[in-house]
Amino acid sequence: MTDLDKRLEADGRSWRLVVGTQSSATLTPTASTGRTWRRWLMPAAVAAALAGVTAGVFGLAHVSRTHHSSPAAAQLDLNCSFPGLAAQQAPSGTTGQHSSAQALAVAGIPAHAQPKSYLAMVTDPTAPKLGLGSPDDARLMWVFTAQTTDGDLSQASRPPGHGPYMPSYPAGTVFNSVWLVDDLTLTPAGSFACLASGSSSASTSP
Amino acid sequence: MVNGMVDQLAEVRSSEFDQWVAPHLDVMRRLAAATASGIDPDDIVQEALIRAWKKRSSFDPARGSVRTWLLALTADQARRLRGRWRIWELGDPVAIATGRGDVAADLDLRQAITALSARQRQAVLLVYYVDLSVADAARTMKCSEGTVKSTLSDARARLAQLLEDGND
Repeated sequence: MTDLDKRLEADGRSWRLVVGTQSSATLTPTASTGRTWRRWLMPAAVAAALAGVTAGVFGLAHVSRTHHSSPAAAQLDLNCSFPGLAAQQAPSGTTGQHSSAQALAVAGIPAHAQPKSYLAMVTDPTAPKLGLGSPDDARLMWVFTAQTTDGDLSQASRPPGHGPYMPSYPAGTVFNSVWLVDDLTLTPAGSFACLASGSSSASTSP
Repeated sequence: MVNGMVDQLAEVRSSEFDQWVAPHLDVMRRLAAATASGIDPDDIVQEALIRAWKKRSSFDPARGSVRTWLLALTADQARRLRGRWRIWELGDPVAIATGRGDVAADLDLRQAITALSARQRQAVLLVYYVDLSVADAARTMKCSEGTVKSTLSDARARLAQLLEDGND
């Protein structure tokens, strides 16, 4: 092996080390339009792969909550799970820095969706990407939940060229969707959708 | 387990898909990072994974391994986002110095790499930086292993010349 070979291999190792540390834990938000990165991830397996999570899949039960309710155990109103995404009841008496209406204004939710909302302590796998700290730390977030259709999803605004690709589903497919808005910073903190129970034949499985 | 799953890839369920791709995520990410400087490699990998999910029924193990198929999808997505292979870049070693070795020398090396032809740069980055085998690099570059080896040889000769000129 020549000296040049050794230099190339050493520099390659150094580069891989740096690239490896530039995981989602250090990446900055990619949005250039003032909107933050948002994700529509289906199937859940893809989310798992993207999040790089190999363990710790948090189950999210299907529990509906209404605005300003005080759930004993608030959980996201989805019908599937996303690795690293979990919600816990906000401490009793928590009012937040911002109102539901202020959060709704930045959430990017289709106007006709009529979402329910509540405050919860959320651990969000997309948090580092949005500049919201560790994906393991719970943050107080406004949670908006609604059922949407594929039409709503395709209309959902997201910066061109950023964020995930939304697979095609037959017209009328119904999703349980959740939008998160960080209460402290009013940062849209990701959006997640799962096929609703009993929806069309579109499925995350072959 | 992966090999066993390959034959029934079309029937892979979502719960198995992450197991299927997980061993290859690191190299996919490295390829994305080397291929499209300025674009979030996670976005490229994400696009490639969803493409893989949608096209999983068309995967043919007779034509190559899962790894090379995923790398090809990653390269395609990066190319789609950035257009050309010639933008392959490594970034500034000063900015990403890890305390190892001589940053100035690394900078010289990377500047020299940028002076290579597109094909030579591609081969160098795939083999030395992305850490692909020559066989995997050949499949990613859509050429023979012999072509990769000769391209690497030419690249090293050119790099040696560039670095020597820089020292004069």
